[in-house]
Amino acid sequence: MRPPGAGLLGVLLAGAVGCGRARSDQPASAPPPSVTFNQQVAPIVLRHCAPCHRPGEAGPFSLLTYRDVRKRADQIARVTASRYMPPWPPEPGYGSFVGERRLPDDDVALLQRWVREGAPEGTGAPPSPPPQGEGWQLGRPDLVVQMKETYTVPAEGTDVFRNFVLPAPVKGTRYVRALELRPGDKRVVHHANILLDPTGSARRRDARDPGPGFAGMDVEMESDRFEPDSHFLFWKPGTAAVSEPAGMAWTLDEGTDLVLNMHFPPSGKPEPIRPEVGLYFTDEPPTRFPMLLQLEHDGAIDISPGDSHFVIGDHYDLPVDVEVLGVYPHAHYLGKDVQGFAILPDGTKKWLIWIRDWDFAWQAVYRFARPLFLPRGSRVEMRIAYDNSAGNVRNPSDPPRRVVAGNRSTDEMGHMWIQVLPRQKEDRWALQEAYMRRRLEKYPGDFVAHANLAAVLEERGRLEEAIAEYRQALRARPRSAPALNNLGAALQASGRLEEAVARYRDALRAEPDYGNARHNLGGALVLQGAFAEALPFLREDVRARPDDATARNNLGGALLATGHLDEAIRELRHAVDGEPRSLEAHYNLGRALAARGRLNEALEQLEQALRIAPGDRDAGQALAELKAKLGVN
Amino acid sequence: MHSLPAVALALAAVVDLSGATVDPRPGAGAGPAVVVFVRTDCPVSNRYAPELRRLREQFSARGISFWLVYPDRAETPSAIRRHQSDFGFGYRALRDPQHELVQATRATVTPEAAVFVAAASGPQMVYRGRIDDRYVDFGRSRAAPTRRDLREVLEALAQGVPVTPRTTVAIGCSIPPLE
Repeated sequence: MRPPGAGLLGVLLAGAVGCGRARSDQPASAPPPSVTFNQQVAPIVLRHCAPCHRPGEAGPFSLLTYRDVRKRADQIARVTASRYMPPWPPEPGYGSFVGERRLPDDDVALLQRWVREGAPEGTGAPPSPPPQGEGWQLGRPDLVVQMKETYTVPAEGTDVFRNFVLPAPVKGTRYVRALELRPGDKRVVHHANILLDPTGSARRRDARDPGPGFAGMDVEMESDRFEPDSHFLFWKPGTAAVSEPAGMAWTLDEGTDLVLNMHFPPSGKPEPIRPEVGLYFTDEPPTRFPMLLQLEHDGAIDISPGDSHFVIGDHYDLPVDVEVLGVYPHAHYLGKDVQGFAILPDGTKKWLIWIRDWDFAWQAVYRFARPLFLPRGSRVEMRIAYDNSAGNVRNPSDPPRRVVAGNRSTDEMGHMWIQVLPRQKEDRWALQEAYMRRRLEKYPGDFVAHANLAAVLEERGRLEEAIAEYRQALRARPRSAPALNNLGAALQASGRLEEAVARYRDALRAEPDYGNARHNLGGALVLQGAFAEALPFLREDVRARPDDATARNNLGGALLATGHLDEAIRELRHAVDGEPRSLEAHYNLGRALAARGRLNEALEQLEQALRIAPGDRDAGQALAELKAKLGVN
Repeated sequence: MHSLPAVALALAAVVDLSGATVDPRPGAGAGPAVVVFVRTDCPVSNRYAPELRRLREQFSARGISFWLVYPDRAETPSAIRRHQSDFGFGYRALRDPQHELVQATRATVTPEAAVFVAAASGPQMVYRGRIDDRYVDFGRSRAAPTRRDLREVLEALAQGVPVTPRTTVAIGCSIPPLE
């Protein structure tokens, strides 16, 4: 039996329109306008503006026809010249991304000229707008999960940041090749992150917060399992739904919740929203395993009021070769300059991204047009500058106040998530180990870093080091039930059963309802032969997880050992049904049936056990005894 | 500061939603009037709906009248009625298809407010510009305004304090030129 382990935290208006119009008394030889809507402007607008500025999309008005565009001509000239539209914050030449929306300089100049010349329509027909897809961009999803209730965004006030929990009703494990979010009215939603919560921690937070969902700009999930995040699941208006590359489906386990972390700017009227998520499955398990690394230094954020240039940084040295697939910078309203880059072992600097005028409202995940190869020994680095002066109009505090890290909009953050693809799955452990060791450099004694480092080391088979790290974690939080339990599991794996039992008991003293510790304690007591003592823990374990074949087998084995044969047979039948390939369950069931005198049934079970593990000595011996009793061979 | 038009131009084509001609500016003896230029699809003016509603609730009892002006002739009375009910302004709505009020006030964007008082020579504009300073530019706005210009003007008028005419620059959606 492998104890469930480890891991704790998944962790100007341009010239007035009309000024340039030809007057009738001008010479007839005046040259015709050289820039017209039908010839030059429509293709730019349809390509760069219309994806959002059309009915049903996020733009507040449509830009599809000459009339639409003519009416807004001077505003279009202004916002394209200032680069407010189309929104594309990354600096050109510092990273090349999928879906780049930046308007080329020539196009900006052309629009200015068109408006200066009176925004003429021109002759001929303009190109037609590209057809608009109806419904799901990726076709009918295999599963649609919709929010149960409607949430109403208030009419006014500061921007709303809310998290909604959507249980994903899947059985067993599914592989997801694509996810599409339909947020409802796209004019209302500014962006959304989708996170996976296998532990119910978001659900519990939701229950404590009145109304649908719970507040918070950022949400961090606690995790019992050590499975680092691997994929960006992000939505912003006007972006095509993302299908994961071949072999890179992500895993969705039964009981997992999807958590939608959403940003709504109030529109002036109450806006009901009820997002839905479409999931597209594949039968192909993933063969390539990306991972999200987070550069951050929230602990260094302590910005004095009035400080207009406060800088934090972080770096991470790659222990293996990787390809960088995407990057997601994140700061709040004080962020002003955001840089991500890599220094290669030969000293070369490779830019990941540079945003010179950070705007929280347009934060996004950026996926590289081509994966960026970084050899082992490269250092990835982020630098984020903040402006906490009154001169920063976005400063949420007036007058400015001291700002530290936190998930309210008046707090700050400084993160850069980087999605990397190592050459092989095992490299993830090296990446995780380096990641946690770096975290310990930043935050000596940090519980999460020690605990996760321990889990990585345990996974890599370095049990003694893992045990030492768990002990360090417990120095920071002596009553952490997950850490006590995981220490117990590591001790048990290294053969120190007695110490393990003591730590499981400590874990249950710290948190009497902690199921993993109960499960492990019951199992460990069985191994110690303390069957009667184990029984109450095992019974509770089965009550708490009736579908867990291991729990059933442990209970069945203990019942068998204490002479409760009928109950044992019942439990072991469940164990065999739940896990037909379990040697132990078949072996135990065979022995229980034999003890009950149901010899033919027992024979069948022991033969099955030996089919699963042909050389198993215990099962072989039990079968031989039974055959002797039956007089067969 | 821009100068305010000295002469009130006559309005002939400003209409209410039934098509009747209306001049929202106060005649002799009438209280001040506020006109706010808006469009149904301008996110900036829509975002001001709650503040505009509060101003009306607070000051209409003090003899000030409130009007919304839709300067885009393509916005139909039925679209405007729907907009009124969605956002609950509670203002009387006017259409300005010939841009008479746009020219009389020299408003350039939505939302932009103008305040008129009655004077011996006819209605006089004492304020034109932003509602407050929340928006600094497109895509650049404060969490909360630091100066509430329109409210300051209305408070002065409600208290009978003389108001020195002034203008401010409003940020919002350009009012489209007449075609």
